Amino acid sequence: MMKPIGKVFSLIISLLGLFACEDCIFSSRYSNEPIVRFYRKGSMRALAPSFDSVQTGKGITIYRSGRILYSSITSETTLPNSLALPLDPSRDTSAFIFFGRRPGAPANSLPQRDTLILRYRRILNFISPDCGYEQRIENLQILKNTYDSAQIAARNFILRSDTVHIRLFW
Amino acid sequence: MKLRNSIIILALFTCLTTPLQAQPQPLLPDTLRLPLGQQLRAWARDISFQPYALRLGTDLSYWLNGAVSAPFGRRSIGENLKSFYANTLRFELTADLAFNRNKHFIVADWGYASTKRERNAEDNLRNISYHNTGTYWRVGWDYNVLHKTFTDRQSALLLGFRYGRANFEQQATYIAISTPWGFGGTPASPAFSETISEQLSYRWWEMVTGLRVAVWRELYLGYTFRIKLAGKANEVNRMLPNEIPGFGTVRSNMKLSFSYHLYYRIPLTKRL
Repeated sequence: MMKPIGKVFSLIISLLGLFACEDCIFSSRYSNEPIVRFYRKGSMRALAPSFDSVQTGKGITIYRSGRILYSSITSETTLPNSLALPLDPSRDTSAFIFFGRRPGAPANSLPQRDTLILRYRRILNFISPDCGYEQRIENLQILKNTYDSAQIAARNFILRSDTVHIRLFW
Repeated sequence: MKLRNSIIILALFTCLTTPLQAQPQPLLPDTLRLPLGQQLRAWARDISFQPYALRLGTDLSYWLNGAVSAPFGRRSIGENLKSFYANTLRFELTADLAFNRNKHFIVADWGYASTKRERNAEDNLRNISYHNTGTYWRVGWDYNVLHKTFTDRQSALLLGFRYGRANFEQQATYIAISTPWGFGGTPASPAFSETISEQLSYRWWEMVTGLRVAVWRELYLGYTFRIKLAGKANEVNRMLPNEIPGFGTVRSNMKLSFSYHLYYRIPLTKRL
């Protein structure tokens, strides 16, 4: 008959086999690029962006003549008639400047310069030594907006192809 | 056939009418009918809150885990061992006080943990260095389910619960690349880097089961299997806790863990 100490050690040894290493299989559900859509007042039909260009507060162009220049969101997940605005990772506010004709405006209308300033909370989440970290954006707010009105559609950014975060009306 | 039916009917009649025919019995003293004060005194006599033995010990699982996980890494066993012990430091002191002989235990643990983790890949994307240091304590109660079987009053198969609390500091330095904001990750446009430091506390609950076995005189070995129910950190400002001293890595609402202990028991009474 096995003595108590033998029983304990055989149990410990058998359970030690449970340990193993791991690889990065993590895929973040979060994005730090809010998706914005444009509407005429009183309508909920999204309008195609018709700007000449869109710049960040640092003066770097992220959109020009129908082409998104910088975005981590792949073309498969991009919503039609929308813009993804990459947020400043170093601050809790980001400014975006829209140059050109507003979406849905007549072709002969004068170009405009519109500004959108967003405020948000950055939450860092360490995932693992293989995967690194993810940055979550929470509590999105609109600080300044030169359109007629603006609406936050989703405060938490879950990267989904059917999620709109900001609606701008004019 | 008629005789058998008659017997059955007679038996049924007897069964149904016996309570009616029974003579009233005088009321006998019944412990359930004792006044509440006497019941409590009887219960206290049975429980016996007199401390029976104090067991002091330490958690060995940190040392064993490092040794066992070493062969599974991507590098050599020696490098894995060195990396494990260089990046992780943990020790835990544990004590349990037995009372009601070997039936009930009050348990208290105290520990210190320090963990370093980093991603330092060539792609420079999502690279981060994470450091977490803090202390924790747990208090709880264990019940020896085999207190009648282990007649030597030494070994125990335990079921119990714990309440845990950790106070720790976490610090992370991370790199972010964002070309639209001038952080391209090139010499002309270096990546953005920031260091975050936060002081947090965290609390959780555990359901535990374990075994304690006397191996030589007053020396004991034992294991504890824990089902940890994730709690909540207070006021997370910029960074979610990843590693919590005493709880471990936070990945889901429930966590299972296994630890092995070495104990020394100090008898507090000569009466078994």
